[in-house]
Amino acid sequence: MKTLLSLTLLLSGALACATAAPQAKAPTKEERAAKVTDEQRIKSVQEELNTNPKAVAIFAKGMCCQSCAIGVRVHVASMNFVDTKRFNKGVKLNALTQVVTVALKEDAKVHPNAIKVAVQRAGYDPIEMYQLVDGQVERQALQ
Amino acid sequence: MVKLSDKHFNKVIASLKFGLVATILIAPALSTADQPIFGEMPRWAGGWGVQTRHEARRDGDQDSQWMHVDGVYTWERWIRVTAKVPFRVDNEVGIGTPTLALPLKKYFNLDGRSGSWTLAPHWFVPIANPALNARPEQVKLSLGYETEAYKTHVGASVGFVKRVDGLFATHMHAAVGTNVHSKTSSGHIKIKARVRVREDGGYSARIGPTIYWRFSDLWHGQIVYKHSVLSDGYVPRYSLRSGVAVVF
Repeated sequence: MKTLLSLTLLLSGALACATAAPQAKAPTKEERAAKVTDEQRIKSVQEELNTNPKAVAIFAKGMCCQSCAIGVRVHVASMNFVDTKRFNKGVKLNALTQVVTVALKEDAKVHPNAIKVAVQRAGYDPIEMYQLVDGQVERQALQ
Repeated sequence: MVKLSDKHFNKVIASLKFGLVATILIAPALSTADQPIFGEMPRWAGGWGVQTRHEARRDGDQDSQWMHVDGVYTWERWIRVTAKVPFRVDNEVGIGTPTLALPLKKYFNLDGRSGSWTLAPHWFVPIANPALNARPEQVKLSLGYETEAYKTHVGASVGFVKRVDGLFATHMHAAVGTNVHSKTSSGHIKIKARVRVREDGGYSARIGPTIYWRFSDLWHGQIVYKHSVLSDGYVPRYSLRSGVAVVF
């Protein structure tokens, strides 16, 4: 029983350290590399939209796991203004920047509220939508 | 009004005390409830999936082969239903103890991190032949927490169990791991530990690695090995599970 108690305490302590670390200590080099700043996110969006101008991007807060984010593709791809022939069913997921890029059909008008609901139903918090206007990224709040 | 006998009252109090101690021990840790699909999905409304896994198991000196078929449906992100059905597929063929659960989840999203709290009642359907390793559990209520960033995953859960023999037990799970990303897909490598403690003092602990990979949005694969490191009053179990899942 003592061994079991020791093991449980050891396990709890190790996990507590692992989970408390991001709040209690300065970010490690790896964490800094994994956490993307707003500036880096916008830069990434700019590059993505420059390459794919007929698209919009959405910052889905919390979307840091590609497997869990499959639902974003499921819900967003079902909207009629999404060009499902591009990307993967019209949706590109970037778990590092937490950005969803949505391919739009020619002459289609994007519906921000529909995208907002789709991202919410997928389990994430839609914060902003980005579009390219005159070559620059324009932000639109979704909250 | 239900009246408890002294015997049952003392059992409930002992179990609550035990559960409290176990919770205090495990609370600093964070964990994952062992849920389909591979503990990952689906977190989206209307999502569902099925996974099937083969298990080669050794209990003491007895070997057995199992197939597990598990299913999940997520109505909304806060509520899902899961069903797990094991089948013994060696010389002894038959159904094991199916488990039904109703995980209730509270997700949270932070910039660069996401996670959830889980409260999950489980019911172990008593239809298995005891000779086929029917599970001793009757009902379980588990509390879990997990959090995930781009590169890391940490989770833990504690479950309070009422067994068919009348004893109470506590099950604890803990997992820590790293996510792996390729250009087109992703996966993870985790170390998972499971500790079971029974009211009569019996205990067991198993630990081992888990490897998961997303082949596509539809197809997923997982391999899990669990090694018995401690046991008293439980038969030491060693198991290797591997399988695939489809998610819609």
